[in-house]
Amino acid sequence: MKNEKRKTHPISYISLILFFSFFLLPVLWILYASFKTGSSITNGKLFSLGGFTLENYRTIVQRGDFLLYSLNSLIIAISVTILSLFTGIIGGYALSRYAIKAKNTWISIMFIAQMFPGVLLIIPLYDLMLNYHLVNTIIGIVIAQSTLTIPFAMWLLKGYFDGIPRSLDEAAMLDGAGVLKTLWSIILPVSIPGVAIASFYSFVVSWGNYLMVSVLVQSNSTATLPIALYRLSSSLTLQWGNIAAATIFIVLPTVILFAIFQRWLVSGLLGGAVKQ
Amino acid sequence: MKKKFLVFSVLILTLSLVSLATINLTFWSMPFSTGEVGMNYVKWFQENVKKSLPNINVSTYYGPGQYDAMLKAFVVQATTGQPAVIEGLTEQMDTYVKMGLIADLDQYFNSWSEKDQFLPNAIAACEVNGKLYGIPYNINVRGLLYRKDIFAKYNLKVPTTWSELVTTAASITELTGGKVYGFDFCSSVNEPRAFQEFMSWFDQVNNREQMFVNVDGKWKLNATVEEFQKIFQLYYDLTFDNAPYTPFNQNNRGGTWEQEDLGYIAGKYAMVPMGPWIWGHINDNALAKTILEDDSAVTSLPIPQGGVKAAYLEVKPIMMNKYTKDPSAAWDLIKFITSEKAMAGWDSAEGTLPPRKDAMNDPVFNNWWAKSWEALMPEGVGLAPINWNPPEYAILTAMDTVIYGVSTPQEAATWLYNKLNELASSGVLGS
Amino acid sequence: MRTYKGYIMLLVAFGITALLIFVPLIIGINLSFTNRNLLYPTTQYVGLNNYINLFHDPEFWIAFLHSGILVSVVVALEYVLGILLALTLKQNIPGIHFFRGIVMVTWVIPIVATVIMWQFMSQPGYGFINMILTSIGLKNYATYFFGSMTFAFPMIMILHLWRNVPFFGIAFLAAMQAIPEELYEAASIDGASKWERFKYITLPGIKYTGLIMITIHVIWTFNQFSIVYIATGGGPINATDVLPTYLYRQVWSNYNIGYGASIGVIMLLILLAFFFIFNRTYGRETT
Repeated sequence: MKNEKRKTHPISYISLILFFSFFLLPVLWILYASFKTGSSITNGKLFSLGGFTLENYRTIVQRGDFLLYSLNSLIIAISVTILSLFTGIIGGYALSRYAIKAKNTWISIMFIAQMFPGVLLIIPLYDLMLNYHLVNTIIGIVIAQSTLTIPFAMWLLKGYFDGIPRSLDEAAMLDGAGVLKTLWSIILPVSIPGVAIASFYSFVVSWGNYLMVSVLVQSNSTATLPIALYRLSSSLTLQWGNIAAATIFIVLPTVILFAIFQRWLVSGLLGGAVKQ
Repeated sequence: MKKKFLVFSVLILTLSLVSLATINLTFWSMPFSTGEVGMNYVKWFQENVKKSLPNINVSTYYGPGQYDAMLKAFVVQATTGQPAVIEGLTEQMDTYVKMGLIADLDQYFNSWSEKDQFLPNAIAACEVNGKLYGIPYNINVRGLLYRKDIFAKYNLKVPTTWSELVTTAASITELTGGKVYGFDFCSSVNEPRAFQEFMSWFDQVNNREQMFVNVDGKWKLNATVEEFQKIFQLYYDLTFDNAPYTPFNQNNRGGTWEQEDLGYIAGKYAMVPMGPWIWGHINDNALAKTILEDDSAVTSLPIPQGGVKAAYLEVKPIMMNKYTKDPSAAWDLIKFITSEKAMAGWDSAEGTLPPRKDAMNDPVFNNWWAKSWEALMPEGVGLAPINWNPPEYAILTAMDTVIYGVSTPQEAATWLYNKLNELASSGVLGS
Repeated sequence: MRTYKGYIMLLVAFGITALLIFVPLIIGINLSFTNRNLLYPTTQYVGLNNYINLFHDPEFWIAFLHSGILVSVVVALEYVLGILLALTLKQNIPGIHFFRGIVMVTWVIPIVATVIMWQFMSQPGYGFINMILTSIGLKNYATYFFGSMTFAFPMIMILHLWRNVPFFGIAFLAAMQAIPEELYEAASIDGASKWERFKYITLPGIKYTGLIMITIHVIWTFNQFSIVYIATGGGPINATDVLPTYLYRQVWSNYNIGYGASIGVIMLLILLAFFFIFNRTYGRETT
């Protein structure tokens, strides 16, 4: 009986190969293309050993201002993450711990807020930004993108805090700690997976966001990578090599972050459920 | 908290006062953004605009890089004052005027010493309701670009009628065994080029008259179902005749300008409805150079039986944002962009023609390419000043149903006729 | 005293949220009752006119149908494939930790990049997919899939699956790993078959996770604009048009803001209805 369970059925190997091919080959393919010259990509051969080059990366960095866009994307993404975490932690904690009137309404509204389509939200959002002179500013973009991340962060963190026993809070309070201190010193250290995932989610959403930025960006000082990539893919000098390199550029940071954060991925997302 | 806020506001105030000394203007231009005009020209532009206009700091960000995206972004943010100057298509100019986003340039233009250099029909194309809303920097008329080497090789006659176009193109596809297709056209629903190509055929069928005419302040459709049916029949024949050696490669349905232009210089098609800008690809690679320099020739687009010579006239304007905080600085920038040297440089780099007499006489345009396209100018027909977005979408949707075999030319023509009438009476085209 | 601090915290958080999300939301709902059009300077209230026009609008119903099909098929497939992936990843194959770690990368890649990757692979002539098809003798099927009437919609579905199945997979894997091994052992001692063990132990164990995943992904997929827009723009003709792209077109091609807003409100109502029904059926298990 025990031996039967340890043996891995050959179908698992096949399944693994199929899944792996489907999910990872596109990424590997574009990585491969980013190191090849334009003509060696379009020559129609599946694999050719010739034509490897770093030229694509050089081009987009020099000609495409990609370093500037990366910097903008980074600043914006970090700011969005901080804002979302701040709001999410405070709001999530309060929702989790306090018996507030109409609490369920708030929770439902928080949930509903994720449902309203972004395409439509831009217009009133933009009108508001216009009145407060926030168009084409980093702050404006941060605010706009946070509308996408705050509801999820708050919802996620509330769920995670729910899974932490109140006895911890009470013990801290009995020792004389205030609410904020309790949150900071006791609860947060235990909530690393939840916080990690909330920040990871916020960062990724901000990093890849195109819609909001397309409306709010007016100059190089605020342009981000998704805009640059979209522009490049419609450029007259349509070089797949450059596009591939730009794609890797935009993908790499998220992959690296993912590698760092993935150990918290599961526990962060499911919090209480997994523990039970 | 209050102290920090105070310091912060003082800082902002100081910074804004400092920036008041130089005027910051943003200029959106598709060819600058995508590099279509070549980085050499953009560099020249940046250096010389600094020299000519030292008080103005022109941003090096030239906008989203696609006309579609530029329009959407401009509509949303024009009231912020930036971009102060924007390049675009006349269709877009019409839309911007309807929305009250761009400035009327009559006063500026009339007091400009160089105004007589501009070609009258180019200026006329930039007028809406008798007022000038843009300064033209680029003018071109469409024609048939074809591979004279292929025609010579198979001893074919260059088509002058629609039916000749279909049969000749089919022959070429067959003779090359499908390696080279006889003809290519754009058909993506969001593609301005597809619309412009359609309009060339339409102008031929409609006797060079506008699709919409203004009668007592209302726009009315000036076309018939038969006309649309005739054009859709052309598209149908190009797509389905002589299968499997069809004139047009069915895999290219839904194609964009990239597919057409880049495909031509890669040798994939023998004929395309084109304009002079494709010359800008001459340095892409050796094949492109050979095809454009040695193997290509230009002639008028073929016409239908009972039709007249006509082709889409494209004039691209440089426009001023109505909400810019520095209109005179913006005007100075526009004057620079459309000055003789700047315009000659831009157009020769892109392979298009300048709508200025002095620029046109620049030796850089004294070559067979420019002369061939210049010769087609009289055929050009421009667009009526309406919001073309909805009709464009309707036309291309109808065309797509034909080339995808979803409707017959007649069904599509009837649908389109009704839809355009609907749009005209709904008032969405403007007033 | 300490409770008040809590209230203030809450107020701050909700204040931010209210400003950023609810104000635009309310403005949006308000717009749906007007005839606001960017081409015209004046706006009037027109009551339910937009909604009545929507009802008679064939393009709306096509987009509605496509959205419905897309969401149901995609989420259902994600659920099933997610379970299969989780089962695969659960095995003790050498190097499995690497795969577990890397498979969710598809979710973090920006959508612009994802679409471009797949468009690149679908290019006729030098696209990876078409080259493979040609080499195994299916040359007739080698085409630009996003431009084909038959294949564009399935391709859009594949894009969604590619992006989200690993998310399901990892979530299910975690849930499965939380199921105590003893339960399985006890069941096999009792003579339960592999399928019975799966049906009566695994499935209930991942139920909670599954419900959360479904909820999230129904919302995401239904509201997902970028994938369809960047890949096909809703075409060819209407073949891949979904509600978000239809809304976008109404706003940005016809400048019909009021009408577009009403589509947005309908979308919101649909999701609310789904949430309501879903909560009713499975509510107890998700709180």
